[in-house]
Amino acid sequence: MISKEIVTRAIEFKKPPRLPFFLGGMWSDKLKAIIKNFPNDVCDTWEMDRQVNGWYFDNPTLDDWNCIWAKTDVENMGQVVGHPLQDWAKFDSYKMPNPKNPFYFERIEDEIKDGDDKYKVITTHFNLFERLHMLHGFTETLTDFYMEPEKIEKVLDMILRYKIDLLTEAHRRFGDRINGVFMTDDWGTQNNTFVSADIFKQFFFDRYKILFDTIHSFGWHVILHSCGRVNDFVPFFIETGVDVVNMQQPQAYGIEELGARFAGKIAFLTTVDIQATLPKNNPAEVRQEARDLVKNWSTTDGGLIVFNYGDSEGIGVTDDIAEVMFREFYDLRNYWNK
Amino acid sequence: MYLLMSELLKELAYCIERGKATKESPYPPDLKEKDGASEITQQLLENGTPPDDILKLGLMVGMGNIGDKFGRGEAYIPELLIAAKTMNASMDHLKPFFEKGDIQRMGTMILGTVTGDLHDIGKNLVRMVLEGDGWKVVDLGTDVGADKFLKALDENPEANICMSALLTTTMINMESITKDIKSRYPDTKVFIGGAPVTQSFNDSIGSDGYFPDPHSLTNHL
Repeated sequence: MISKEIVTRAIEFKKPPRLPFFLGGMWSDKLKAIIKNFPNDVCDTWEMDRQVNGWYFDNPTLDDWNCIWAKTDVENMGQVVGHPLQDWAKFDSYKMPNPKNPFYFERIEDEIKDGDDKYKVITTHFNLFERLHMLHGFTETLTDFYMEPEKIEKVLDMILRYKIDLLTEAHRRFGDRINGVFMTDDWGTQNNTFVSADIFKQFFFDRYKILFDTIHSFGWHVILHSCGRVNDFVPFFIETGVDVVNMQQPQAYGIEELGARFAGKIAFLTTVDIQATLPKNNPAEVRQEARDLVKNWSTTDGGLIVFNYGDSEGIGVTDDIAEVMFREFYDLRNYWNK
Repeated sequence: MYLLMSELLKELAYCIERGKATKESPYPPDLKEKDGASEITQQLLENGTPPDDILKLGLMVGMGNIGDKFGRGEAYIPELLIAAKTMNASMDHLKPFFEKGDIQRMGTMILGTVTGDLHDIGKNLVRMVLEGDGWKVVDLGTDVGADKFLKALDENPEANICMSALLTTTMINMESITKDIKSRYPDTKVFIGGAPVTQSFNDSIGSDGYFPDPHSLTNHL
């Protein structure tokens, strides 16, 4: 069975023959060599996120939304420190980037032309909430949900329109050669969501549904990444149409708790905890957590895809411990098919 | 008169907790056109309420209430931020009394997000809550190394330190910074917090306390 079918069955709970592996985003030569020993069922391209000024990961400067990025000497993706809509007076004259700019699509063909047996994913980082606070400022956004709700709605509608037009153009160009869309919206702190369920429902629920219905109309799956303890938002993700949730801090959620609530209802794209476990570089703990994840988050019908965070240096993880994790998941690949 | 002041202090605390800054504020909707923290603080001062009482029985009670709710998961970061901003509306009236010495500061706290880290929301929340509790705060910003903490301590030798980090790769800098601070100022307390930080990490690096949220820090202080 080809990789695309294995991943699709895992997502749709149609009994994949083994655990699928999504190992894209390898940033060291050593890890690239390690990965060759394991299946890699997904072809993932980030080229739609390339900015005219260059990759914000490498080149902290203005992005195409006029957000100002900054980095320190510590290796990580950097952060937005300048917000073009921090002052609401600038909204009427603000121009968002052109979602149909050929620049965003011109490199995708090369990325997806080979490996037709793989499940193909296009990534569009910074979904509605993240782009909103990049534009307006994080503190300002959180308070303006209450203080300036109408203005927040206008910005969200602008971002939503961009995302729909961007993905519609991607579908026009690549059609069913793409299988899923990976997007990011970090919703959580260590202990809870940033905002209440009421705020999510008021500002994001319907917009998420519109966006995800659009993606589904293309025949694509929705893969949503969210950091933090977002347990109470997972029901919203399910209701709005997320097919796969990428949550990478199992210790923050409670592995058994999350599995008891949601296993079988949404597919998980997961790694051993990138914050609490992997950086400790303890092989025994990594192996145990991998076993717990397979046992609690997957089902006899599927529902779990193994993920590689990708930026090992950024989270203080050695390539050796990443290999320990992949090896354990690989040994468990037929967990339900013994 | 005492009853009036007592009721007004309760109202002030309620306004802080609910985020009602001024009479003009449209938020929260159910308190529309009612006096806010700013107006009530002014009334209290005009009635002769000691400013120190306003701080302790109004502002700190209100911030304490919303902090407790946050700790129980019943309030979220936006409510905490709005309460802190509401508290600032009241503090604008009390600042002259701090400057004159009519209100004693709780102490001085030097804050910073550590070397290599640009995240500031956690640090900013701590700053707001500490100020509401009557602390003088020296906020050094983000990407702060030992040299900046030490310079601030040279200028504020009685102060203690709060360090924040969001990343596992920047959290490790807390150890060397703590060592450098303790070697020059052994009696200075160093408190730490942030998403990847834990009690066992605090214990391993010799800092004086790990606090997962602003309210647990102020309760400790």
